[in-house]
Amino acid sequence: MRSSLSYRIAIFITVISVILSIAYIIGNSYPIEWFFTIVMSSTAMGSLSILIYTRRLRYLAASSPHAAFLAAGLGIVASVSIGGNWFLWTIMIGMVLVYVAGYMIYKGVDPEDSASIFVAFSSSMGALVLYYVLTRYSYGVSVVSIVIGDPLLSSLEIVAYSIVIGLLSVIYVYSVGREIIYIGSDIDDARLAGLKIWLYDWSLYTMIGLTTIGLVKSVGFVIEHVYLLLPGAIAAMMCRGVARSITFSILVSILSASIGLLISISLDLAPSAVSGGILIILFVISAIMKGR
Amino acid sequence: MVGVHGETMYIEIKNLTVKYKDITALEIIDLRIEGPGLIQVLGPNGAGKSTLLRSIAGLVKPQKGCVCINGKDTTANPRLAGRSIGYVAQKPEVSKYSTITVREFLCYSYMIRRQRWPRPPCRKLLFNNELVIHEDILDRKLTELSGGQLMKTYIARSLMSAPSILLLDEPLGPMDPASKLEFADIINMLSKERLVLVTSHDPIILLEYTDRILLLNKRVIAFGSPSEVLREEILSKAYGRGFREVEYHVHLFDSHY
Repeated sequence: MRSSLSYRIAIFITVISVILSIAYIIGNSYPIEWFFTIVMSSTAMGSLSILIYTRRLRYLAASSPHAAFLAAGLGIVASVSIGGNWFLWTIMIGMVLVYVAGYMIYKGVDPEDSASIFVAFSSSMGALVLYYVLTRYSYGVSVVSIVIGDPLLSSLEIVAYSIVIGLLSVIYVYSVGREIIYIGSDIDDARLAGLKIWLYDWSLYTMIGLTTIGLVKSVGFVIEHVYLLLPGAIAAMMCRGVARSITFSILVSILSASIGLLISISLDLAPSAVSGGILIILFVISAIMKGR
Repeated sequence: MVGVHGETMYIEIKNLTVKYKDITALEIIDLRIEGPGLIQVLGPNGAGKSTLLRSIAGLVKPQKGCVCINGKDTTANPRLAGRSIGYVAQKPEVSKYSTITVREFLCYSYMIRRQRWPRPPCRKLLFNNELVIHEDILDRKLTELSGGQLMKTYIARSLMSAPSILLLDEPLGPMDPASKLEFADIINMLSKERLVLVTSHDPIILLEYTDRILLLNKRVIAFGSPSEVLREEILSKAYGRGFREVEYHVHLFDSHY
């Protein structure tokens, strides 16, 4: 009963917030790309969030933004030294790093151990590489936006990527989400049923990687953790049922992104950070409601 | 060897060796188990009971040897084994953030085995299931169930594929004594038409329904009727002096009722 009511309220508030946000942007002649970048980035991560929890990939999800941080730095070095597009370099390097982390978990390395090693490596190497970039290069990519994110400075390339990856994530989650959630609930029976566990895991690692690495500049690697982890946790507290919790997780992401954008433009604050803050508030409200 | 519905049900194991990091967990030279009926698999901790069930289900890759289910070699092939087998692991673990409901869990188990459309209505399946799941828990999340309800749900899930062989790894572990008795009746009912292998540390609860007991301690110590196996000189080969604790536990259980 409570689950159903929360669900309807979430749909209602999300629709209102989207309308308000679009109306405010258009009314004040701000670029509509801002809305699409932040909302689709948030949608991409929010839709994967529930799968991350059920498949027990929180450690991989927490490691992935650090991989994005290191990949973004190495991407700058590669594009300057070798040539080519920074964004493509970042995606390629980042995906290799995410696959290494995923492979370690798949081969049975304890997720906490692999995450500790991976985060320690990628954070320290990332800081080293970005320091090198800051002191040696004068490069077009804003290093600050890699850390804290700035969807308002996104290039057309990143805007398009946000829209594509947002839609792709939603399609992915609704098409294979049930199988992944079943694997997370009973992996032995999934094997007996003939599901190719490696294929589902690989596809999920790929989606997590493409999302966190491709969106690192618009969201920032710090806030990516919040976008990836909180919507699923909120949905798990508020919902019963797979389809409903996936939808709820997406709604919460869209809600936080659109209200966050509205507030950040009005008060001249960092959009990703405000959206992250709203997610934290929603998480606390959900925890209080669940505790009752 | 032939069940009520006419299916054959037997397991053959030959020269099987399973090792974990060079430590031998199980070695079986030759074993044939036929159904229908209830087989209790007994042995001390680390005797290889769970390894045996996982090997039969194809979930473990042995160093050598083979497992055949109903005449087909299913060694380390869970997909093939899964056509005849339902398996419930010891202490099924569900992520505390999982939102899947009992109804979804049972339906998905059915649906992932049948990729072709149209998929049959799950409601009908649920109520055809022999193991009645009360309607009031169908819409609860798995994380909201008690240990006994969760085990019952997992056993119901294992029946969704209509297996002729059922492998239950310590199904009575997380239950209170009253639930154990209820479950003993359910397992008895299931074993009428299937070959059911149950691992246990407490043989007495299922004893009256048990057709044969398989006693393990990294190898087969004995395989026979309860009266043949539950003897001091046989049990001591598996448990050493520990089998007295089994007797003591039996006495404790009886004193409750």
